[in-house]
Amino acid sequence: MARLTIRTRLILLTCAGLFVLIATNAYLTKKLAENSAGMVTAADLLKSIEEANSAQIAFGELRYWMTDLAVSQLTMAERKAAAARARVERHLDELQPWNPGRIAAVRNELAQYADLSGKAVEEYTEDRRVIGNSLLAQARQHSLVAEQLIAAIVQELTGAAIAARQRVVAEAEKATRLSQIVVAAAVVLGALLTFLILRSIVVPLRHLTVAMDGLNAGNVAVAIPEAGRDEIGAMAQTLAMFRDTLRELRETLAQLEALRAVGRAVSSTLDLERVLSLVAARAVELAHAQAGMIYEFDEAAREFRFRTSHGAETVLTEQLRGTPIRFGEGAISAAAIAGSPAQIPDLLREQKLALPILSDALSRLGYRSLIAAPLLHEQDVLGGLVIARREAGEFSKEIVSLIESFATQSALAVRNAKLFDEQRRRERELRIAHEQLKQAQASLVHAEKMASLGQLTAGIAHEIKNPLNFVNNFAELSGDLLRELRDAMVSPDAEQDELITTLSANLAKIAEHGRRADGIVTSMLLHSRGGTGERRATSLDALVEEALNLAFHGARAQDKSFNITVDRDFDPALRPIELVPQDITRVLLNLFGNAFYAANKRLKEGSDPNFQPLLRVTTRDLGDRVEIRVRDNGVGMPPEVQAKLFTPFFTTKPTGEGTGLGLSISYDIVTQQHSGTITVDSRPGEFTEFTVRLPRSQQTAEPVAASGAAA
Amino acid sequence: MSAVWAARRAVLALCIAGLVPCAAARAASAEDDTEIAQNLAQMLRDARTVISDQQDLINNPQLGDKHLTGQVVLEQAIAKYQKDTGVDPKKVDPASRQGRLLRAMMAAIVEVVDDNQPTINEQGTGFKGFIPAVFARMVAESFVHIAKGEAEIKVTAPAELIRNRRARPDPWETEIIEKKLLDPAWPAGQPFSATVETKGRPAFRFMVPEYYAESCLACHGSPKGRMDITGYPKEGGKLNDLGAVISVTLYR
Repeated sequence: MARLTIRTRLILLTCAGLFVLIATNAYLTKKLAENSAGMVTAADLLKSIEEANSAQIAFGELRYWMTDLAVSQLTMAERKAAAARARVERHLDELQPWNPGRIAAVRNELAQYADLSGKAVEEYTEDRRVIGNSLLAQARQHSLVAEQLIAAIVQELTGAAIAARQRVVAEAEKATRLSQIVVAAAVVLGALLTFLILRSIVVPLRHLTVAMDGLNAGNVAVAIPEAGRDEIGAMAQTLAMFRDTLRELRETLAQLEALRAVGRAVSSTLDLERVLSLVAARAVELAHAQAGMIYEFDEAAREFRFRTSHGAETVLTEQLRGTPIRFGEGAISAAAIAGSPAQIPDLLREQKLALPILSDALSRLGYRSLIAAPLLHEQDVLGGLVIARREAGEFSKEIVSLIESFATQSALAVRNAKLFDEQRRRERELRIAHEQLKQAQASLVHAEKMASLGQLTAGIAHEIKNPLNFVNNFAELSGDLLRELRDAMVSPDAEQDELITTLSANLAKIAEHGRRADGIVTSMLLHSRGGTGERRATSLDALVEEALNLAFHGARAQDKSFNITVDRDFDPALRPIELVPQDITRVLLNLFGNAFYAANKRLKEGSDPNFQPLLRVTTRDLGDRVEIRVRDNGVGMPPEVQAKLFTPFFTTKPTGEGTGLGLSISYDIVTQQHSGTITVDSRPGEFTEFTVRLPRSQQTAEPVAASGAAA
Repeated sequence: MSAVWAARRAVLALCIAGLVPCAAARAASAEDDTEIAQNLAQMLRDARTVISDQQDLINNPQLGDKHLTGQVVLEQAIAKYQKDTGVDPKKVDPASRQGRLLRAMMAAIVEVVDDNQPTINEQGTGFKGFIPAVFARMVAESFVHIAKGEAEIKVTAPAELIRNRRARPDPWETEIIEKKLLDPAWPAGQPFSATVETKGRPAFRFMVPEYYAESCLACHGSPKGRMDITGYPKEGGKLNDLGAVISVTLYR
C-alpha cells in the first residue's frame, strides 16, 4: 500500500464510502419516491376522509342550527346555519374530484334538505307550525339520506387509506431491511479499508516518531525507516537528510569546539608542550585516527625532530624521537615544501613519500595510512603534524581541511613559544644590563664623593700639618730645653724637681698626641693622595700572614688579655699577584683590627659563656683574580650600619678608639687603586665576613656587586 | 316580483314628492295618521320603559308572585304616557280610529304581561329573559293580532342588529333605515313617514328611530361578540347609535 500516496489511499477510501453511500441513497431514493407516491395517495385519501368528516360535521351543524332557528327564530342561528351550509358545500367541493357522482348525490340531498328546512323556518316565523313541522319532517328524510351518503363515503375512503398506508409501510419495511444490510456491509468494508489504510499510515509514522525521538535525544545513528513512494516516504527521506545534516553539524561543531579549545589554549598559555599535546589529541579524535605526532624543525640542522604525540605507542614514540627526519625526506618534508598536507593512503604500498624505517615501524603497529601537514609561519617551516590511522585510504577533504587548521594552530603555538623564549632572553639581558648600570652609577657617585672628600681632606690636612709640625717640634724642643734645664740645675729642690717632672710629662703627652694627630693627618693625606706606591708581584699568602701577625701583636700590645683563635685557610696554589704591598697590608690590618675588636667586644659582653673568639682567613686563586675572605664571629652589624660602613669618618667605636677612616681608606685602596671589590656580609650577634677580590690586571676589574655590599 | 316592487317604489316616490294629485287631498288624514302612529309608538315605548324599570323585580329569584300583572304594567305605562303626551288614552274616543288602536295597544300590553306571569313570577330563577326588547316584540305581535289588519307595529332595526328574524325589516323599512335614518345628516330622533302601498293596500308608514342609551349597551355594547346575559353575542354598539326603529303601519 506504500506504493500509493496517502492522498490516493484516502481518496480510494472516500470513493468506496461514497459509492456505497450513493448506491444506497439511489436505492432508498427510488423506494422513497415510490413510498412518497403511496404516501401522497394515502395523504390524499386522508385529506378526503378529513373533508368527508368535516362535511359530515358541518352538515350536522347545519341541521342543528336549522332546528334551533325554527325554535328560537334568532338570526344568529340563521347565520350559523348559513355558515354551516357553506362549509358543507366547500368540503363537498374538495371531495368532488374523488367521485363526482357520489358527491352530486350528496349535494342533491343537501339542497333538498336546505330548501325544505328553510321553508319550515319561514312557516314557523309566520306561526304556521303545522306546515312547518311537515316541511321539517320532509327535510329530515333528506338529511338522513345525505348523512348516510357521507358516512358511506367516509367509510370507503377510510378503507382505501388503510390499504394505501399498509402498502407504504410494507414497502418502507422492505427498503429499510435492504438498506440496513447494505449499511452493515458498508460499515464492515469501510472498517476493514480504514484499518488497512490507517495501518499503512500509522505504522510508518510510529517508526518515524521513534526516529525523530532518537534524533531529538541526540542519537544521530538512529535508524530511519525505508522511504516508500508516499508522503511518509518523503518525510523519511527528509528526516534522513536532517539526520545527515545533524550529524555533519555535530561533527562540524565538534571540530569548531576543538579548534576553539586549541585556539584558546594557544592564546592562553605559552606551555608549548601542553598546546601541542592538545592539538595532537584533538586532531586524532576528529580525524578518527589512532595516533598523532608533532615534529619541530631544526633550522640549523635542517631536520625535523619529534616533539610530542598523542595515542602513539611508547615504542613508536621512542623510535620517532631517535629518528630525526632530514628535510627533503618523507611525507612531512613533501608537505613542508608544498605548503599543504601530503597523504600516504597505504603505507604498505607507498614507496615515494614513506621513509622505510618509519613506515616499517608504523606498519608493524598496524597503521595503514597517514597525513602530514606542515607547520608554517609565512615562508618559514616550523615543523609538521602527522596523523596516522589503522585504516587504509585517502583522508576526506573535511579531515584534510581540519588537519590544516590544526597545523596552523600548532604553527602559531610554536611561533608564540619561540617568540616568548626570545623575549624572555632579552628581558634577562636587559635586567642584567640595568643592574650593572645601576651599580656603575652608584660606584661613580661614590667615587666622585670620595674624590671630592679626598681633596677636601688633603686641603685640611695640609693646613693642619704645618701648625702641627710647630706643635710637635716645639714640644720636642721644650722637652730638650727642660732636660737641659734640669741638667743645669745643681740641686733642684723637690718642688722644682716635681714641676720639671710634671712639665716633662706634659710635654711628653703633647708630643704623643701631636704624633698621633700627625699620624691622622698623614693618613688623611695618604687617603687623598691615592695610590702612589709601586705595584710589584707579591705573594698574597705571605702578605696576609705578615699583616695578621702585626695586627695580632698590636692588639696584644694594647690589651694583654686579648686572645683569639686564627684559622688560616690559604690557597697553596695561589700565584703571586701584582699589587701595592703596603697599601694592601694597610687594608688587611684594618680588616683584622676590626675583626679582633668585634670578637673581643662580643667576648666582653659575656652573653655566651662558651664563646670563643675566632678569626678565619681564606685566600683563593680565582684565575684572573684572587680572593681574600676575613670572617669573625664577633658582634656583627645591622644592615643600616653595613650601608654606611665605607663612608669616611663613620665609626661605631667609642670616641678616641677609631678615626672612621680605616674602611674608607681600605675601600679606596681596593676599588680605586687596585680595581677590585670589597664586600661585606654580616648578621648581628653571629658573624661578619669581608670579601676582597683583586684582579690580576686592572683591565679585568669587575663592577662592585655583592649581597650586603655597602657603598 | 321585482317589476311589481319597482312600480310600487315609483308610486311611493311620487307620493313623497307630492307629485301625485291625491297628496294635497289627503293632508289632513296624514296628520291624523302621524298622530296615531306617534301615540301608538309612544304607548309601546312607555310600556317597554315600565318593563325596563321593573327588571330587578322581575329577575328577583327569591320573590314569587311579584304582583306585576298586565293591569299594573298598563297603569304605569298610561301614567308615563299621560306625562309624555298630556293625554289620557282611556279617554280617547273608543269609536275613533286612534281610540280603537290605542285600546288595542293597551290590550296587547295587558295580554303579553298576563301571558307571561308564570315566567315573571318563577321563583328560583334570576334572569328570566323577559326583557324590554322581547316584551316590545311580543306586544307588537299581539297588537297586530288585536288590530285585525287595521294597523301593524313592529320594533325592527338595521338588518345587522336584528336578533329575532320576526323583527326583520321588510324591504321598504330596510331602504328607509339605510338611506334615511342611518344617514349622518338625519336629525336625531326625527321620525320618517310616508304613505306606501303595503301588502297590496295603501298604508301610512311611520318610522321612529331609537338610539342606544347607557342601559342598552349592557347587552348591545362592547366588546363585540362577547355573550350578553341572554346568551347572544353583543353587537358592539355605542351610545346614541341607531339601535332600533319602531315601525307603524296604518292601513287605509
